[in-house]
Amino acid sequence: MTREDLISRLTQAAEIEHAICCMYLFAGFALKRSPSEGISWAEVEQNREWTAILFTIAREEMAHLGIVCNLLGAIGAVPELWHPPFPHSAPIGPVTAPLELKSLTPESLEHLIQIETGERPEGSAISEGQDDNTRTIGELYREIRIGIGRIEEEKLFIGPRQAQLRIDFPSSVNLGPLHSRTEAILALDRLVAESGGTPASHVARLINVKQELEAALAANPTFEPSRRVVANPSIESETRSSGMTTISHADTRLAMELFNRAYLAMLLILYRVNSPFGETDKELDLLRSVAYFPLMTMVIRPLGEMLTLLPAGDGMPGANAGPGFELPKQVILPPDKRVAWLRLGDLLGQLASIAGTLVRRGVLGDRGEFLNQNLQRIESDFRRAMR
Amino acid sequence: MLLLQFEGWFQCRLPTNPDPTDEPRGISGSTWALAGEPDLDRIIRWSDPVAPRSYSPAIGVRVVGVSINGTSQPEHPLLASTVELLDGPRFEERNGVIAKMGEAPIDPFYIQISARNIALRRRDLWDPRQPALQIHEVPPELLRRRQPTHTGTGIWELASAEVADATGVADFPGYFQRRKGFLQRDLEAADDPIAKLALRTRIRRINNARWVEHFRLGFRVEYRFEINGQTEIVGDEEDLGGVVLRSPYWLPHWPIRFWMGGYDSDTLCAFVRGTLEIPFRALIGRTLTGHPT
Repeated sequence: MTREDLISRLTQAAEIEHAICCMYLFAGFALKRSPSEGISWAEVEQNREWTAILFTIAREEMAHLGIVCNLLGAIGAVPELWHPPFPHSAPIGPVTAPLELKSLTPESLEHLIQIETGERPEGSAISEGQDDNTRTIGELYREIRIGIGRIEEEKLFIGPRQAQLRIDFPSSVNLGPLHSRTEAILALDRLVAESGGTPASHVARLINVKQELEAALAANPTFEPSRRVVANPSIESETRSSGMTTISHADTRLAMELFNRAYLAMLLILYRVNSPFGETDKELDLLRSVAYFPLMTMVIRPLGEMLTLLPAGDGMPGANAGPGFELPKQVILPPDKRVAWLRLGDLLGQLASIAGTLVRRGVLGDRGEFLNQNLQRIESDFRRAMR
Repeated sequence: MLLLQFEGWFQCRLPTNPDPTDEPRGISGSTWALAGEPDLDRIIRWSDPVAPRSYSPAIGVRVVGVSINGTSQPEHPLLASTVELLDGPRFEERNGVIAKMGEAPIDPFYIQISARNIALRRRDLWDPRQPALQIHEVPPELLRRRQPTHTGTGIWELASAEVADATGVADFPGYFQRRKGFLQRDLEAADDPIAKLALRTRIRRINNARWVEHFRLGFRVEYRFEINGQTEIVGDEEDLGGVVLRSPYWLPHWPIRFWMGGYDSDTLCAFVRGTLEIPFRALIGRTLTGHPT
């Protein structure tokens, strides 16, 4: 295996980890939170447990994406932070259904379990010359692990030491730089263990949630744990495909645009932290602290939840929208620091402007003004830091 | 100088990281609203708690000591008076948007000391020239004034002896295990399904408590700044035994210093202890109970 083969497989892994992270977040955002949404207090508590599990797994998937991007940086490539629009066909076997943004149901959970299961059923081993896209996720990581073991360490790890994301968060996410074969293998083993095969793995937790959900539905057939969100909500016309639901409500579309741009801004900052070009450690820390973490917990999460409460539009009575996680075809920044930071500042300015419009129109409810204030602050802090 | 020492328990029903700070119920953090309770609101309540939970300490911050120009005043009318923060103050960290973890300023800061016949109030302004400035508009150099002070090793103190002295809690895991025992006993006796649900959630949360919940029982942050807004006095000032110094042209600040800590993430309560200095001129010929000599 060559460096290029490794880069290709790691890029594929990044797209998968990223896409399934969005799937968990979407399902978690759409779960009902209050008896005012027609569920009992007991169901509220149950929903909270499931939401917490989905968000924890999503954070672990973010860490997995971080590991893969750090590895890409370590071996001399750039991070891959793009994923295809939803729905898209699963680039791994034996998953046949497309990767979609859907609310929590036994079927959507079964799909996630299938994706996370690293091994294919007995008797269906991959054959020589079979399409790359039929590997299971476990097989993909096994190949990456073998490749890292085979290529001479000094020749493989040529990336700048600075180009690595570090997260030491008081939660489940911990991510350190990877500069050696041992560090890389340990990180990959952790990633594979978290996905499946251990009692606390994603697969084990998802099976548990599925059993609980089936029991709850059997006990109360009228129980609707999630808001009535459409699958794969979209505002982009260029990437329209079957399975997407085009949102037509004008205010909701604007709120979705805000989400998509905030999501892009967060990814571009992540890209820059993983692929700096002249930034000092202090500047990289600033990118993380001023914009990356606040965007993640104070913008993406609440706005994602708010979107599941907004109407989808004409011809979809009673149906709500949700975050589409839609990206432009490029999730990269130019190397020049001045240009890159100007673009980020411009993007953060757009977020503040759109949020202000949404608040003036009263679209986002009680939480909208808080979101607006936070976006104004993120932008002003970033511009202050640029000076 | 009128020096007031105050202390007591307060309630703060706040969501915790990594939940966003406007999270209404609590999901990923270690603090949650329970079944039957209203949404979390982040408000720091030095009195009048909302939906207090069983085993909460008695909420209320009071003046525990008064001195004038260094002389203790055991009969002073402000002794045992209520100290409150008005207008819904909150810790404004916002997961790094306003301040880093553990460096949250309190906003708004509008203190009131109220006894039977008198109330003293004063608001701290970020910038007296721009009194309408909102927290998200405050530049970092102004924000710093009202953020926790550095105590040499950092912003906060871990396993503070003073917190343990104030709260009586030093064995953090043991504290929660005892609480769990009480809650299990209450659960066995409970009839109301919503109350049972809430008790079960509390027990489960204690079972799953991480180091951070234990750590909060012993940590403290200290605030120290000078309150700079207009002085407001309602009632008979002479009862104080003197005059609070103020003028439309000259606004002597009120230096305040206090720590907050010992947060119990089960009852959502913590302790505050501090001092407030009020520029003051004692009236000669009056006792401190307000009666002419």
